[in-house]
Amino acid sequence: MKGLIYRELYLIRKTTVLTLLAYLIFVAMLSLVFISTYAGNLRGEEGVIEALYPQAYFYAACIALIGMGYGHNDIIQKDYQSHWQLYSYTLPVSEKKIAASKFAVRGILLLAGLVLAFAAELIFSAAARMPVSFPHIKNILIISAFMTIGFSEIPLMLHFKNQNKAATITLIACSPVLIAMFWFGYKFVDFCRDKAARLYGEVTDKTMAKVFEPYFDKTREICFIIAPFFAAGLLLLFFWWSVKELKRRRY
Amino acid sequence: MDIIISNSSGEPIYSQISSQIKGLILNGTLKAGDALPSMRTLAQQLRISVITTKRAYEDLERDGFIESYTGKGSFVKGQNTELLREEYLRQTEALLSQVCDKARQCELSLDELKEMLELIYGGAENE
Amino acid sequence: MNEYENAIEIKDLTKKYDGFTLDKVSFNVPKGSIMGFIGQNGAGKTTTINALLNIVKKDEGEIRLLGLDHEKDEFEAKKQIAAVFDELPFDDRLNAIAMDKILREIFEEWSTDTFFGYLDRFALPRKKKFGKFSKGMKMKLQIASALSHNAKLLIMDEATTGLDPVVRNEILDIFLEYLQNEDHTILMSSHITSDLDKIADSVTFIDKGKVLVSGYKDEILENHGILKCTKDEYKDIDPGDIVSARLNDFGAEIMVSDKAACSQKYSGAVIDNTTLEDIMIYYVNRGKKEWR
Repeated sequence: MKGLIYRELYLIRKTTVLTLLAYLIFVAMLSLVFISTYAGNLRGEEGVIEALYPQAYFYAACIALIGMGYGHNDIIQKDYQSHWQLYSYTLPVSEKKIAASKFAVRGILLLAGLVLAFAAELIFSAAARMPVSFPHIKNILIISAFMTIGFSEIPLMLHFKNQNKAATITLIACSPVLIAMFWFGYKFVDFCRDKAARLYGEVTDKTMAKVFEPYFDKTREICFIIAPFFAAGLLLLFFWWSVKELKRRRY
Repeated sequence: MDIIISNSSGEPIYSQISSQIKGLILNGTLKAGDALPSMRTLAQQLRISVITTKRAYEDLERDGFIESYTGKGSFVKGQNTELLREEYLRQTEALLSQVCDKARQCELSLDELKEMLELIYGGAENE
Repeated sequence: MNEYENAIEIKDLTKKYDGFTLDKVSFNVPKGSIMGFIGQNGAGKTTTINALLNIVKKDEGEIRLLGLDHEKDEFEAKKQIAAVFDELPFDDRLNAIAMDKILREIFEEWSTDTFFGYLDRFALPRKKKFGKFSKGMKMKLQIASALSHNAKLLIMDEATTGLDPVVRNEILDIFLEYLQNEDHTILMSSHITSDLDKIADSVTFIDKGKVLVSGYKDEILENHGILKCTKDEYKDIDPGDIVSARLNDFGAEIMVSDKAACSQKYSGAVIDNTTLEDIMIYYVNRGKKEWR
């Protein structure tokens, strides 16, 4: 199994390094924006930090987590094309180990993304001269937990062998859920608008934010508790599914 | 030890090998107690199947020319003159029948053949 | 170590696909020998080999590899088996050094020294990416890795197809060397029969999913012959003796499966020796008793 892990990490090393570089540049640039509000040409500008700081970590986290997994997502397709998948069936490695190695690589990348996201938060806090924000850290953890949904790519690709096919079919299958989410989001915004009008008499960004905040905080707390279970459950499900796909011997 | 096989002659390869080894034993190139190459080595060198060399060695053993011991290999057996003579007789007969075939082909009569034989045989003695 | 007589035992292997069925394929490959598995493209060679290695699931039949059940003791067996395919299954972006690190962790008995030894012998560069290798180099690389983990059984699926004669020759020499150890066995599928004419110990012919002939190569070549005669004489030949007959404007060429009996029966007829290729061709055409 170690050999399989090494192989996949070796294959994605170039892409990963490039992504890392791009990420560092991004973080550096944003930090420079923060720094320039007191040491550069944005000095005196009001509200830059207020507006940007709450969101900076979020973008960085998304880039880190998604970017780290980016190089890995076409590996299964390439494995089918190069017949490595075929060859791996001749090796003394069980399907469980093959699946486990793929999940391990993904896990390593996810962990790397997490560490990079934390680093970003630390750097931004330092640059913006703000204390490290624990809600931010919590959010990063929650986002990472939900990123495990991306692990579904492993069994899906094992099944479809082809990225375009897998993507299309997944989109079609998930569209009802996506539509429901949009509808719910729309309804919720409406609800907040009404509440803002009722409580504060006027509907502005600030009043909306005030109405929104308690719900947001509550949701985050709940998510923080269920996220690890959610992630673990998903991982087990996808792992079991992957082993099943491998056992089906699609030849 | 030299073994030369022909793919285009009518004779099966195992038979060519056993004849040639027999010849080497009979003319003294291979002496009693000499070790023969293993069947596998011979097969590899001649680029033929092990089954073929095995068969050749089995024939040689059956005819009393070699002895095979598992784990040790095959060795030339000490010859007695009877066996030798028998083998030579066999070879002579085979050659003679070839000669007769050729003679028939060019329509040589038996008497003419006998004349030829006397000339050649007598000539050989005088050398 | 368990004792076994046949490195591969296949009994009544059956696998159904749409439009093609492997039908009760049975043959054995004795330990220490090399078997040529011969057939046209699409005859079922790859399917049989895939079933052996459990790459496809068989529908029926029993298969034993190195004395072990190929499904129940799959991983035990695979530790001692090396498979070589017609295309290099390693990613183009890898190189030999990376491959060594990968396979070292997968095979218990992997030997880096042996692997690099073969690489040097084949003059294969260690740091070059596989995408830049020529076809011959790719095959030599596969063989180098196949021979580096002390495998007792080499299974090759059309490994020499597509290689030039010089490289094929080099590779055959390597196989002969491998067979010097009596515990080593090779199963080689090919439709290039000239290689197997010489070095195969036994052969199995497969056509349209069925085994036609299986046995020692020497015997098969001795028993079969091509009887040549005029078209008139052809009419007198007993159909039971004929595998199939090829007619042309100047006469008939008939493959017979018992050369000795036929030379007695039809004395005076010309009966030529055959090659494995002839046997394959005549047997494949046996459905049409006469063909051109």
